[in-house]
Amino acid sequence: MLLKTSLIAVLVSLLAACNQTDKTANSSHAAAEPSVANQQHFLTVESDTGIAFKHVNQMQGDYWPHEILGAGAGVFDVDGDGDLDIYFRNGSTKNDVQYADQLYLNQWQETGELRFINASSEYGLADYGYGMGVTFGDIDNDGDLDVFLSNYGADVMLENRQGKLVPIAGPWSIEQWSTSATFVDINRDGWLDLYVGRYNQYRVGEDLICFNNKSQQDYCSPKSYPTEVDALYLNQQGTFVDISEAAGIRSEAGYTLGVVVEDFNADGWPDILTANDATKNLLWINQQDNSFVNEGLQRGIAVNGKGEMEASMGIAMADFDHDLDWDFIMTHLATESNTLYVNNGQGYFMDQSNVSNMVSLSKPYTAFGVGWLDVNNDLLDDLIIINGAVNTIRDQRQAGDESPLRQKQQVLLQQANQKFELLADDDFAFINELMVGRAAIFADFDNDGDKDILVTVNNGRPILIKNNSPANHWLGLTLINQHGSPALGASVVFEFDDHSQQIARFHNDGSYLSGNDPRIIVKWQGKKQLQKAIISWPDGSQSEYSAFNLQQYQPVMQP
Amino acid sequence: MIRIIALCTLLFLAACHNPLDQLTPVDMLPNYILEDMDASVIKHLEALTDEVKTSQSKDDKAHFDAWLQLAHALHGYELFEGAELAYTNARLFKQRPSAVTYQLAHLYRLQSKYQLSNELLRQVIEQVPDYTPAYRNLAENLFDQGSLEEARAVIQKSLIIEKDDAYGLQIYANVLSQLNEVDSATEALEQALALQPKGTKLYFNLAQLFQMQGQQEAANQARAKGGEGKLSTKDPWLSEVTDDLRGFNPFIAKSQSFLAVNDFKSAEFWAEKAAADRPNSFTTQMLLGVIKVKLGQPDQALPYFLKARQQRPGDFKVNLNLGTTYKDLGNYPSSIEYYNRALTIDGGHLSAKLSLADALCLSNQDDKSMVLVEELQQTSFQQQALFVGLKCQIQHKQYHKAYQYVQDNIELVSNYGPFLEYAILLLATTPIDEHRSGNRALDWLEQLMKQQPTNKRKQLLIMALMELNRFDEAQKVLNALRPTKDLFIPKQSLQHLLQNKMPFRMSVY
Repeated sequence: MLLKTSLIAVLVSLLAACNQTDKTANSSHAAAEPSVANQQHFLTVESDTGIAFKHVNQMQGDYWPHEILGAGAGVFDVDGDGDLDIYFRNGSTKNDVQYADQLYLNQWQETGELRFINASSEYGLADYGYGMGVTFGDIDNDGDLDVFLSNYGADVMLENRQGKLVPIAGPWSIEQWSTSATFVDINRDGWLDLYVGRYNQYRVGEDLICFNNKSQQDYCSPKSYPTEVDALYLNQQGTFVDISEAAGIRSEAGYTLGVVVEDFNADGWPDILTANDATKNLLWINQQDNSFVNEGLQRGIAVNGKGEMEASMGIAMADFDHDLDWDFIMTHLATESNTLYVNNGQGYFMDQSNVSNMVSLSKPYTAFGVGWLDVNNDLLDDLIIINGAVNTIRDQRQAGDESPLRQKQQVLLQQANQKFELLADDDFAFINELMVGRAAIFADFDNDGDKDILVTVNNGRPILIKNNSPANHWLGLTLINQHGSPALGASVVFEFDDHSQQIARFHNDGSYLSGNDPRIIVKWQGKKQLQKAIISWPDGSQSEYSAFNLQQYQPVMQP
Repeated sequence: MIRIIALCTLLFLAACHNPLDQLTPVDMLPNYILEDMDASVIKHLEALTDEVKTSQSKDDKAHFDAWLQLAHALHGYELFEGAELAYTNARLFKQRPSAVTYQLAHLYRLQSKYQLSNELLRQVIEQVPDYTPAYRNLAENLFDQGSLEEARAVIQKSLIIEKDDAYGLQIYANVLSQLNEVDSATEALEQALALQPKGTKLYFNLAQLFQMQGQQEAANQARAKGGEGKLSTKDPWLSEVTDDLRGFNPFIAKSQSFLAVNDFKSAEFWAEKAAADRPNSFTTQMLLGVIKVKLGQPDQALPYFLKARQQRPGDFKVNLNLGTTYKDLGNYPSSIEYYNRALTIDGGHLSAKLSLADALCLSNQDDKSMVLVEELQQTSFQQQALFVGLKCQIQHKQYHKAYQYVQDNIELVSNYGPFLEYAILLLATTPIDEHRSGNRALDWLEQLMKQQPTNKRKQLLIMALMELNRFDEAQKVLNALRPTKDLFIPKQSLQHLLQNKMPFRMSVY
């Protein structure tokens, strides 16, 4: 090897000597590629957070499909001190507690510093299996958030019992490969039901051996294994029942990786959208009788505008064009583009990836976690996109990297014409961070009115990015239902005195394997005044609210 | 190592003395052959590199061809730096410049280097003004970059040259729709659909246009119509790797590239396109046959191979494929017939002999099978032969014979290899008489362990111990087992079996 290395070094230096003109020409090529935006932003990577967690994927050289897809993380205020704590998923195998999930408590309220302490044992965390995602919801209407852990293997529900997270049995305790999951009150009865995305039927020990185009063993395509159907569990006053079959969910299968919930057809009932890898995305329209019908194809989201199925991973919703309906982006494999689906106001979508520059910006990367966030305080939603390959990158493998799937990260700045531009590498060093990025969790860890970003890394350490946007006029809302629980699934229309409006949704779904901060933040600039918030509650009722205390979060109770 | 050095030196010299440096400068040494590539790939690249070397003394055409072949191979393996260098050197010769330039443009496109790709595509258009694929690629590049007006101009030119080009019309429609010229876009798509009524993707494009016009019901219908067709993933049209700018060969190359990455459905799609172009092509029939086999449909593979054989009855591969397909279908007499025909053409082909031995065994002609096996044991296929022989005896429940067979060849045990170890595993888990043969397998494994206690042998030992219900001993070996990639059953799965005291058993029936 030494000889080889020496040879390479000698030859490279010889080439450099004989080919002086090349470097100049090459750099001109680089300059000829699309220019990037050079704009201000307010993101900083926090290095001293006290988080010692490191994800371990347990890879053993067998190219297990699940070892490259995890893992997620999520946020909830487990200790009730008013700031968001972090639950990290890990790739634990049974009887391997050292690689189990970890819980970190945020010390912001106590110390004014963004530091976290490990409280895993204090909260009774144990080995809950090979982790994928995490989501939160109050399943027993006792006013605190319980935890659902999706796994490669049996899923786990942790009931929050006054400071202890206790596993409880349920229909989820079966061997499956689950990915993103979300709580949703499908029948508006005040009890949160659960939708769980599932990937494929691969099981350890049934491995196929796949090769890349260089005849090297590599990770198999999801298509190497049969699809798996997602699951829907109905909450009957604290007891969950699997209604997937009766609800029609088992009529379609795909390789589900991302899930969001929204009322896409404006009938007041929550629908479910899944981002599926290499298969059609599904849009389950609620039939208001505990059943769903997939309308993904006709509503324009099953495939991209060219009619191609893409490798959908993450998904994030926003009214990015401020026309008071929900648009969304899905992240995809390298050589495909991330796809921007724009709502026509009636729950039908158009692929606007080309005109928004999304195609040319996203093709080189395999993207997973994604979220909308105003990073430069221009009140336009920008995009944070977390990348990491799924097939080994040769140069990295040759260099002996044990996770040779590292890619650069991306921040896309939305321009006034709804096109996106790359934030320049030298404007934010994080972008140059080569890593196997997976989940991106969006949460206001320091309660300053802008959401920060927690990035998880497969087989690596998470990264916390703080958003330091200067204070505008802002208002934070925590919507509380009649049980005293977060009213996941509620939405708000904000009305201003100049007759302008903004919409917001109160949910923790989206991105990839993530449990996000559900709190609503509305921001505005100038002299205009916020007049009222019209809140649509998950049970279909509406109320108005106008007793605002600006520049802070305030709870709003459902009347 | 010598070959590696030769290659580096050759490439180095080519770069140093390259008078076309101004075209595509090279400042990095391709290191594709220096590291952990698969042996077959290295062999392929080395052969092509040798060809470049030897062709230096031949005429320019031969030298050019050698560079181009190397470039195509590197392109196919997505070894971008090496491919770029090889294409650059091929361009030196000014032979078939448009083909080389087009390929290099595609190479840049694959790397999202749009500007470089566009520049070269414009050169191709200058050289071959009627070559519409270059226009389409350029228009697609520009479309992806959001340069809609430029994309429109380029694709319009293409459509003047080739009016009835459904794909060109689709690109044109996409461009127009993004320019909000909805009526013209709809017209273009309708023309495309008239040319290609089963064009699934065209219906989705049309749906977007209807939606833009507020015609939601029409959009729904178009999407429903599209949904009736075969949905696919990304259009691989731009990924063709070929030196043939038109027609049939790109489809074959595309199909082969998908076959190489085990995407059999896409491989089938492109092979069928090739078949539509040249329905009687031997290559197409063979390719479709292989794809059907890979898809687990040997019954559907058979007609393709038979048709191919009608055209080339003396082709070794088609006879071999027929032998294997008939074997997969359980038609052993026909399988033996075609293996014999293949061996008539190439009597020294060891793999064909091994397959024949297997087929003979399956048709209960054990004696004939064993003659071939013994013959193969004298060759480099001795491990495979031993395996087939043993498998044959176990299949016919000749356990004592099988045991004796291994015992007779015990010296081969020291030349450990995957086939022999697998054979021991089969024997270890197969009843011979009232006692399980596990004890005997255990003895052999212990002998093997004394010679070299490899991880794989430890795993075999664990299985044999489990078969004998000696779970505590198995657990001890398992605890010492390193969880490396050479385990054919993951450590975790073994642990699970052990925890549940489930004997491992591998059936050979």
